[in-house]
Order: sequence, then structure tokens, then C-alpha cells
Amino acid sequence: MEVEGEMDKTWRISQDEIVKEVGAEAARGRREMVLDGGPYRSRYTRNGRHMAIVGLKGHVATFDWRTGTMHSELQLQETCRDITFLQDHSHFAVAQSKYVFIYDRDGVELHRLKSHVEPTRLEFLPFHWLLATVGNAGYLKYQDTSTGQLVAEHRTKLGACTTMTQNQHNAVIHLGHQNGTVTLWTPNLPHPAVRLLAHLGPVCSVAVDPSAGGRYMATAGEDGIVKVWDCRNWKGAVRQWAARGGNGEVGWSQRGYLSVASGGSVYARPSIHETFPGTSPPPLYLTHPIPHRPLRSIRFCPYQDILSIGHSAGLSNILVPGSGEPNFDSAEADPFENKKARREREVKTLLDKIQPDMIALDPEFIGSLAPPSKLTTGGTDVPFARLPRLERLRVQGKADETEEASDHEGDAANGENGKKADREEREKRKMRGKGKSLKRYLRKQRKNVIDPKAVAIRAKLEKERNERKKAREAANGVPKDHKPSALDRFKRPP
Amino acid sequence: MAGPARNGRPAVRGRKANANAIGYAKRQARKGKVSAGIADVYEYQSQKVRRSNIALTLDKDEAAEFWAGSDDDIDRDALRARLIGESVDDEQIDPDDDEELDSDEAFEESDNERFAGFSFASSSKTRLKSKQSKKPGKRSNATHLPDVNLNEEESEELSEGNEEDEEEDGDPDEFLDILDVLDGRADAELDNEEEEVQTAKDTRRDVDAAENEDGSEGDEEEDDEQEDGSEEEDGMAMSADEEEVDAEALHGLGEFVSALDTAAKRKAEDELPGDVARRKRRLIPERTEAGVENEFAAQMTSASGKLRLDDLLAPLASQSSNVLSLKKSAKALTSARTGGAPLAAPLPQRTQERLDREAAYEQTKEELDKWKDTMKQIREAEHLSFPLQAKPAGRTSNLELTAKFKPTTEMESSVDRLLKQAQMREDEINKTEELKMNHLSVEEVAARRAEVAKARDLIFRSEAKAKRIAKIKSKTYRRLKKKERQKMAAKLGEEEEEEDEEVKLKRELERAKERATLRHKNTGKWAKAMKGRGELDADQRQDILDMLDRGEQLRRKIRGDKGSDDSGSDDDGGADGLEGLKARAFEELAELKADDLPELSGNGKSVFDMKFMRDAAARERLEVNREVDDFVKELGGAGDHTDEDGDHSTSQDAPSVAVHRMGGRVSFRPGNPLLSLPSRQLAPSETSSTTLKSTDLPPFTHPLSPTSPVGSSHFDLPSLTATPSQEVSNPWLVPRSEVVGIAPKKSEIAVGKDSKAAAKSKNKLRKRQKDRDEEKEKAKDDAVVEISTEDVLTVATGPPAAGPSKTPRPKLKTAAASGSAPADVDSDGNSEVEEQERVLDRKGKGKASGVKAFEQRELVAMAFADDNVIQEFEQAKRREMQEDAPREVDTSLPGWGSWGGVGAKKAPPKPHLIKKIAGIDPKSRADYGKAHVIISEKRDKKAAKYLVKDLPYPYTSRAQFERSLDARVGTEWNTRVGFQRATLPKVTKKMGTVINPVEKLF
Repeated sequence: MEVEGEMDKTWRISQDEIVKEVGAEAARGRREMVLDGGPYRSRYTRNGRHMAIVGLKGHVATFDWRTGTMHSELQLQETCRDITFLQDHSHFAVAQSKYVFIYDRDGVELHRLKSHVEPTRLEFLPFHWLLATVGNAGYLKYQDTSTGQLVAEHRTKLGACTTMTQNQHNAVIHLGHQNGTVTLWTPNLPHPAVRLLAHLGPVCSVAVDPSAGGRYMATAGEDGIVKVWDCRNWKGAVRQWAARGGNGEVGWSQRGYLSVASGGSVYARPSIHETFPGTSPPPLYLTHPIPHRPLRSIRFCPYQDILSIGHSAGLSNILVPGSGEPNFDSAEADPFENKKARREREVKTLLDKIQPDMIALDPEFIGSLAPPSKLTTGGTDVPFARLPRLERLRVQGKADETEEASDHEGDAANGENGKKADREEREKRKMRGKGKSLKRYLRKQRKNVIDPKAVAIRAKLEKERNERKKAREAANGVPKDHKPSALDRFKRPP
Repeated sequence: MAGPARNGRPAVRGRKANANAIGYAKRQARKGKVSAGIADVYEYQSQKVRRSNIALTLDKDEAAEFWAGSDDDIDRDALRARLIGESVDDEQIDPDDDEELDSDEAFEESDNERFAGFSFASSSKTRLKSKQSKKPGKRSNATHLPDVNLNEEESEELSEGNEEDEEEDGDPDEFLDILDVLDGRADAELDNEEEEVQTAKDTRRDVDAAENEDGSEGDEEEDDEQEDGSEEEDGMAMSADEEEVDAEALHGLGEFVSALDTAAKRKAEDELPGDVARRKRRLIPERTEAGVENEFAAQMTSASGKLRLDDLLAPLASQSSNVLSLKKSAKALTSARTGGAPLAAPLPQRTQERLDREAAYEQTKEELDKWKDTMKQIREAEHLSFPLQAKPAGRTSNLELTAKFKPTTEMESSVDRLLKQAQMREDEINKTEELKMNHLSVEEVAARRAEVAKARDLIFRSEAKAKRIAKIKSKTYRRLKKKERQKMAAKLGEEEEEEDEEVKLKRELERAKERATLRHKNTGKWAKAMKGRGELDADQRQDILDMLDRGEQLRRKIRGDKGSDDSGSDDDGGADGLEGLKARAFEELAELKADDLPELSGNGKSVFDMKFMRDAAARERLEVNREVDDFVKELGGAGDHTDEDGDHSTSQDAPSVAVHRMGGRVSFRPGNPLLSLPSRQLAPSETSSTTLKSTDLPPFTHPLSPTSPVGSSHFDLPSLTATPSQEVSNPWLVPRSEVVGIAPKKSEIAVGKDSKAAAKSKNKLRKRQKDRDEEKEKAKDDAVVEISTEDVLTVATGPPAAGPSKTPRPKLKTAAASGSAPADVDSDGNSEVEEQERVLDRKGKGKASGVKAFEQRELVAMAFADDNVIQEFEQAKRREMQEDAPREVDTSLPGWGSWGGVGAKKAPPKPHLIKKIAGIDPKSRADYGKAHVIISEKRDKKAAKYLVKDLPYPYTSRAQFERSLDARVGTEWNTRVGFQRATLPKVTKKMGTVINPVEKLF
């Protein structure tokens, strides 16, 4: 979406104008669902074809939003806090007042997960077939939906948690807590892999950017501040600003558009990721005022330019041009898959299921060389035989250090050392007087060879030397040689 | 013993020589022993080398015969020893006669004319070697002494006839022997040095016998007289020759001595008397055992009288090559035993076993190391397909084809028939070859093969050379070549027309010239030509010998010493030949000395006149002089003029060399040792006295008393005398030094030797007081420490308990400061609220209104009251870091290994009781310096199983390995072949094939 002039702003363009401009098919995405039953939350399947909505009061519905065919609609008559599809639209889990329940596509209750008590948020990790829930008790639980086993159960010790998201890149669960920290969890570790003090108040929403390999995380706190973090090094907020309304949900689109629900505003991608020292908001891309508070959920539809905002009066889907990935990979997620393809994919994903203990912050750690241990042994020398092979090679001088040296150059920690080494190297390589080309020439032209060229060069060198000497003397404060005069005889020796 | 070639000559001669030798030996025994010994010694030396050659040329038959013949001699030797040892009256029996007769008898028994010479030779040889097994017919020595006597007579009678013909033939043989010696050929006849001596002496003695007509001589001499005229002549000629040889030998000795340098001379002189003694002291072994004497009986050859392995193998010696090899293998045994030392006790079992294991290990290792490369290859191979060693594809060889071949066509069959007739078919040829090869030993085959290889190599080389030469284009080279060729052709032509008269004449002329000039006995044209013809026949050899002899004589003439001199020296040579030699040696020395002297007076320009060179030369000369002196001293017992000379030299040397021994090093320097001696004796006494004195003196009086008795010694004199003089010269310094240098010393040394007992006790008291004071102070210190700790405890309510934390607190502070939180960390929890309040106050002041409007901030502050988020987070982080940080745990038990009670100092913790627990240094943490984040450094145990723990083999860096992992394997990214190669399993095997272990191909 582009504007013509400087003075025109994209955020001034209303949804009506957009709907008018876009094609009929795209325009179908814009819809307002007016529903009773409290603030709604919504979820899309991975291919963006099906949608599940749940109202706080217990209204659950799953449907193919494109065709408008309803799969199931349930009135559960109890508090339902969250809903999520499992591997595809054939199953979905609902976080109800006491437990998590799993229903099939037709709304038949399949399972009641008793171990997940008072769940508040649900996340499904599609590649591991894990249903992660967190509840008011503050326990994070992983349930394998293929085997039905409870894989892991972590006590967060941080009280009730109402904020949860997954990093699609590495399947790490991000939890936002009441004390303002965001914690990152894997099934392997009983403690958070990372604890981040994100806000001074409770964290009300966390979202991870799927576009940049899970690099950026946005958090919104009760203090009304939205922060964007770099998950690689956690150096501090990349950008932070105070959202207008505060207390809003955040969500990333596939192409890195960040939506903040507080003011109903969407921010364009590149500016969000740019590090910005101040607290001013990034340039707005789109705004859509919604009068129904609270805004409980905000979801971008995959492969579509649609943002669905859940609020107390239902759901409103708005068009955000350019937010969705236009090119889908049908092997990954096919919006147009038929029944057979769906079945086949189900089997395939089941076969390709990854073990839960393969979840780590670095998703590519599998099969790689173990990083060198940071454990310091306190001065005790490890015998050569017990050293790892790389160390042994280093001791023997057989290790190939070339690439690692280049790696280290970027390191901030090694910056000084690197510079020092560089200087030493330069000092070592420095051309001493002997090797200079001129001198080499003169050396070749032996002293007894007298030809005009050599003589000229020698004279030149001599002259240069004299000049240098004079300069040095001048620098040292030695007075210049005066022309001898008759009065010199009266000079006193210094 | 005569070799097979020699046997062609009349054997009778050899026998005569035998007789001569024996006779000579007898006379020699009767003669004055000194002279004989000396004469023998020289001969012994000159012919020393031949022993080994003789041993080698021993034939089996010869050996057997030889032993058989010589038995009696040994027997007789043993007998003689007994006789002399046991009864005095037996002395009158001439042992030499006895010996001779015995040997004759032996000859008779052997009854073999051919081997007369051997038996003769053996008579002397056996003396050196050990005894033999006795003949069955012989009586044992111990029991039948009278029989021996009888035997002598018997032998006397019997010997007559035999001896004659033996002796008749002995001389010419002997003569030829010498010729051969001069010819330079190794002689088989001359058994050992003794025989040589004897033969030489023998011939001379024959002449003596002819002249002297000694009545006391035995029948053997008479036999000599009885020789035929022709024989006599022969003997005469021979004796003359012998005389010459003898003279020559003496002369040669003289020359030899003169040729020696001083050191060698000394050595030679050393050797001479020793050798004589050795000869005299020879022990003749005793016979103790009886046994059947035959070829296969063990015959002991060793002087020790023990049975050796060699003796057992001796009869088999020349039977086949197998025995040779056996002998070779047995050599180790025999050599070990010949040492004569008793066998060492066996090693302890454990040691032995260990050694065995070591050896076995070495062997096994060597064997296994052969597999190393193979196994490395297999291990490193990316892909293995079994069976590893494919059966070699059968390529039919020629042999195979020929073996299978069967004539089918007519022509083939006819050819085959022909071959069969001629016995030229493959298998037949092989058979004959095999037959031939059967007789060859391994060495011979190897030698033959080597020969063939060499020939091939030579051919190849010559071909290569010819090719190379053919390529040369240089015209000059060609021209030179051509000339050379022509020359060669001319030469060849010359040789071809050798038979021409002219050439013969020319040759004769050359020869005459050669004989006339005698300058180069072998380098003359004629000699060369003769040599070039290869094999010399007897006459030619004779000619050459003649020439050489004559040349020698002439040369001697030229030198000026007369033949009469030689003979004279020969006459008294027995008595004072040694003296003369010594005299000559001393003269030589004197000459050397004289030569040395003029060198000293150089003209001062050459390098040798430079100082250091001269010094070095002097040193060398001294060394040489010393050696000469030693030499002279060693010869001191000899003639009086040598003594004089020795004395003279020593007296001359004495003043010239002064020997000093200073601290273990001997130095030679010109000067009188007599003069230097007293000083040398003086020095130690002086030093000792000075040291004593210096120790006696109290140290502080030393500088103050310059007139102390120490001054008498000149060793410490400079240092001691110099200081007072300086002090005296500078009067200003004296009092100052006293004040400065001595006063503190005095104060330090409170109690001197001269101080009284009261003072001592006082001092002791003071010391005790001091100790007590120190103790008190210590106690006070302790008390103070306790009090102060109490003070601290009472006062220190403000600062928090430090706790065991090791993490640097200031860093946390700075970290907090960098964050949004205010600088004060301790009041962190309240900080936000306080700030809010402060802001509020300010606002309130600013507004100055009573209305309190709640603002957002206030509300937030109220909402989050007591919510110390940052503080809690920091604490959590600190806790985490502490948990992970490396720790030191003191595992020492309180009350153990230390003293308790008042005044006891707390001992520092013992390092071995401090347990170090590995951890992560806070600085190396990923969240170091990031206050708002805690990144867990704990190991993810469950995920660790997906990691590669160590760098796999072929990679040398992490990056390499990761790059290899990054490479895609799928068909989409690779070619079909590449994919197949990449995904080929490491081991593939054919179905149904038997996989045998890898076979050794080396």
C-alpha cells in the first residue's frame, strides 16, 4: 500500500477505501462478526483456511472462513479462555474453565486433559505435536497429542500466566508474567532458558516475528509500553514506545508487520526492526479504530492480508495490504488442499514428528559439534589424553584456525585482542629499511658500479637523509646552522 | 703342511725338512735360551700373519692324517714334562731325542709317505694346540715310564732309514716355501710361526753342523752328514740362501725399528721381551683320558684340554655345506665357551619372563606393524566392499600354457619328437638343471645369481655409456678418441708380434736395464710386462726373486753398510742383537732430538714463529720428550750406555721442565723444578696459616689493627696492607668509619667473649623480658582483634551481610545504573515509588493547589506498590550466577589438624583440603553485562545426546565439520552419481560370498 504524496499517510486510509480498491476475492476478507459472549479470541490453521473462535462465555466455533462453511459450533456454557487447532482443522483444543478439552472437527469432545488445570493459554507446536498450556497455577505443560503423554511439566513459580506465544522458528514457548518478565521455555529444561525483564508491570502480550527466523519478539506490558527485542543477543529493546491505549495485544504478520491492538494500529515492517534509541513509535502503517473494548486477540491470517481482531462485541477482520505471505509452499501449508492431501499430510507430519527434547534455543544444534564447555576447572590442567580432539589438535598445532579467526573478528569480546594481534602482525610484516625497493636496487647495483642512474639515486637518497636529519634536529630543538660569521668568536659555549 | 698343489713335488723333500726342523728344535733347546728367544721373536713377528691362512687350507684327510701323526709328539711332550717333574735322574735322558724318535715311530705307523710333510709340521703345531686322543696301542704315560725309554731306543733304531729319505726331500721344499713367501703368496706349508722359525733355523743349523762337526749332537746330525753329495750341495746352496735370509731378517728388523716413530718404537720394545717370556712359559697340557682314536672320536684341539663343540664337528668339517651351516650356528656356543669363564647363574624367573615378554612383544609388534598401513587404509576408507581382496584374475602364464600344451598337428608332433630325441624338452632341461642345482649350496646359488646380475648391470651400463658417447658431437673429442684408438691398436699389434726376435731382444735389453738400475723393482717396463702376462712360472718367479735380492744387496752397498757387518752382527747377534738394536734406537732418538733443536731458532717471520705457535710447539716438544724419557726408562735395565743416555736425557730434561700441580691440573712450564719445589711446599703451609690466623682474629678488630701478625703472609697481604694505608692517608675517613662502621656492630653484639658472666645473665634476662613482651603483645593483638570484631558487629547494622557471594557487587550496580532504574541499588525496591512521590511533590509544589488530582503515574505507582520487580530480578540473577560460578569448598573439619585455645592463631586453610568445583566464570556468561536478562548456562542434558561431543576425525576445525553438515545430500541438490556416492553405505558386501580375513600379501 503506497501513498502518492508526502503529506498523505497510509494510516489515514480507511478500510472502506481499501475494500473499494482491492479485488472482490480479497475484499471478502473484510468482515465484521458481531457475536455475543464476551471478548473473543481467534486462531487460524497453519494454512490459513480455517478459523476457530472462542468467546469467554463459552461460544466455540470452527469454520472455513473462505467458503463460510461451519465445521462445528459449540456453546460450552463455561469460561473458555483460549482455543487452538491441533495438527489441522480436524481437531481443536479449548482451554475451558477447569481443563483443556479436545474436540474433533465436528465438535465432538475427544479428550479432557485433566492434567492441564485452569488453563489460560494454549499453543500447539505443529512439528512436535505438542500441546503446550499454561494456566492460573503457573504450570507450563507439554502434552504430546500423538501419543497422549504429558511430556513435560514446568513450574514457572511466577504465578498465573495469561500470556503465551510460541516461536515458530525454534518451538520455544514464550511466557509473559505478572512481574514483567518474559520467560522462554523448552521441554528439556525445568527452568527458563532465558528470563527477560521486559516491563515494569505485568506483561499482557508477547509475539514473535515469524518472518525473520524468530529473531524479533514484541512485548506489550500493562504499563502501556511496547518493546521489540532481539532474541539473539538480548542486548536490550530494539525499539520501545508507548502505545496509545496501552494494555494491548501484539501480533506479527508473516511478512513482519506488527499490529498492536491497543490503538488498533499496524506498523510497517522495516521501521519496527530498526534499532531506535528514543521512545517514539515507528511510523504507522495502518490504523483501524475499534470501539469495542477490551481487545483480546489479534491474529494475522496466514497467506492472506487479513488481520482478525477479537473484541468484546465479536471479531472484526480488516485488510492489511501486504501483510501476508503471497506465495505459499504447498508442501508446507497448502491453503487449497483437499481431503486426501490433508490426510496424507497428517500422516507425513506424524512420521516426521520431532522429539520434544530437540527443542532448544538454537534449532540447528542437532548434529552439530558440542560447544566448548564454559566450565572453568580452577587451574587444574586437563591431561592431553583427556582433552577433546579439537583441543588436542590445537596443542599439536594441527588445527585449522583460519576460519575461526575470521569468526572471532566479529566478536566484541575479542575485539581488543584482535586489534592488538593485528598491530603485532603489521609490526612484524612491516617493511624494514632493508627490503625497500630502492635499497634493493642499490644493493643490486653494487657500490663499485657507477652509472648515472645509480649515482643519481644515491644522491637523492643522500639528500633525503640530510633533510630527515635536519627535520629531526629541528624537532629536537637543535638550532639551525647559521652561516659562519666573524662574530661567532664571541659566542659563549653553551 | 703342503697343499694339494704342493703335493705334486716330491714329498721326500718335505720329510727331510721335517727332520731338519726337529733336529733344530732339539739343538735349540740345548742352546742358550736367551739368544734363541730373541732371534725367534723377530721371526715370529714377521710371519705372524700366516697362521690363519694355514688353518683355512686344511683338508679333511690332511687333518685326520695330521692328527694321527702328531699324536705321538704330544704324547711325548706330556711325557717329558712328567719326567722332568718327577725324577731327577731321568734328566739325563735327552728329551729331544725322545721326541724325535717318537715322531718317527708315528710316521711308521701312519705308513704314509705322502703325508710325511704334514706330520712333520704337526710335530711343532701340536705343541701349541692341545693334546690329542691317544692311539689304542700306546701305553699310558703315568704307568709306563720305563716303557717310554724303551720306546726311545726302539725309535732310534727304527728311525734311521726313514729319516734319511725324509730329510733328503725336506730341503728343496723348504726352499720353495721361502720363495713363495717372498712371492707374496700365502703359504699353506708353513703351519704356524713356530714351524717357520724352526725351518729357518733348521737350515742354518745344518750349515753349522757341517762346519762344527759337533760330537755331542744326536743321530739326527749324523744323518745329515750321511746325505748324498747332490743332496749336500743342495743343502749347501740352501743354507747359504738361508744365511742370507737371516741376515736380511736382521737388517729388516733394523729398518723396521728405524721406520718406527718414537712411540711405536717404545711399543715394539715393550713387546719383544714379553714375547720371549711367553714362549718360554708355554704350558704343555697333560693327558688324562684314554679313548679310541679314530676319525670320529672327539679330538680336542683347545689348549685348555676341554672338549669343545669344534672337536665334535671336526670330523664332519668338510663333508657338506650343511655341516658348515651347523658349525656357523654352533659358533655362538663355542665362542661363548671359549671365554673360559663359568656360566653365569640363570636370571631370576620373573626377570627372565619379563625379558621374554619384552622380546615377544617386540616380535609381535614388528609383525603387527606390517599391518599398520593396511589397517589405516581400511579404517580411513570411505567405502569398503567385501571381499576386500578379490581373487586375482587368472592370467595364463607361459609356463601354464606350455604345461598344457599337447602337440596336435603333424608339424607340432614332429617337432616334439625331435625335441624328445634331443632331450631338449622343457621338463628334461629342468631336470638336468635341477640335478646341477642340487649340488650347489645356497651361497653358491646366490653368488651365481649375483654374478649374473652384475653382468647384466655391466652390460646395461656399458650400453648406456656407449649411447651417451655416441651422442657427443664434439669434433675434438672425436679426434682424441681416434688417436686413442690408434694407440690402442698399435699396442695390440705390438703384443701380437711378441714372438718376433727383435721384440725379444728389446725385452731383454729392457730387462738388463731394469736390473742395472734397480730403481723400481716392479715398476719397470719389463717387470710390468711380466706381470701383465699373468701367471708366473717357477723360473720367472725365480728371476724376479733374484732381481729383488740383488737389488736389496746393491742398495745396502750404496748405503754403506757392509755384508761383513751384517754377518758380524749376526755372529754376536745372539748375544747382543738386542743391545745393538737398542743402541740404534737411542741413536735414533738422539737424532730426533738434534732435529728438534734447530727448529727453535726460526727467523721470526713464519707463522711458526708466532708466539702461540711457538708455545704450542714447545708444549709438544715437552710431551715428546716425556715420552722419550719414559721409553728410555723402560729400557733402562739394558746396556750401560743407554743408562748414561737416559741419565743424560733426564738430567737435561730436569731443568727444562718444571711440573706444577695446582688444584688438580698439572702444568708444565720451563724452569727448574728443584727451584719451584720449595715454593710449592711453602704455599699450602702459608695458606693454612693465614686461614687459621684469620679465623682466630675477631672480625671487628680486623680493620682496626693493621699491624696484626697477618702481615707476614703475602697471600692476603695486598688486601690487608692496602686498607690501613688508605686509612692513614685520608685522616678524615678514619674517625668516621669508626663511628659509622663499628658502633652499630658493638650495639648488636652485646655479649662478647670477653664480657663477664653478670653481663651475660643480664642479657639473658633482657632476652627473656623481650620474649615475654612479644607474647604479651601477641595476646594483646588477639584481644584487640576480638574486641574489634565485636565492635564491628555492634556497629554494622547498616551494611547488609556480605554473605558468601563472590560476584562483584559494584558491577551489578553499574549494570543497574545503565538500566532505567535509579543509581541507588539498595533502595531499589522503593526507588520507583520514591521517584514517583518526588515527582508528585514537585508537581504539587508547582501547582500549589490543595486539590490532589490522581494522575496516571500515581495510579501506576499505587498499583505496583511493593512490587520490586527490578530488585527481585537482580537477586535472581545474582543467585543464578552464584550457583554457576566456580566454587572452592573448604572440606577441612574444624578441630582437626590445628591448635585451639587462647592465643592460637587460626591456621590458613590447607590447599589440599580445598575442593575446587568447576563452574562458569561470571564474565564468560552470555548475559554478562546485561542486567535485564538471565540466560541459563546450565547444560541441557537431554539435548546433549543430539550433539557431537568431539570433532570427528578427518576434520581439523569446527567450521570444516559444520560446512560438511551444511552440504545437502538430496538428489535435488546433487547429481545422480554424486548422490549415490554420498549415500553409499560404508560397507557393502556381495551376497553369498565368503568373506575371508585379509591375507598377507607381503
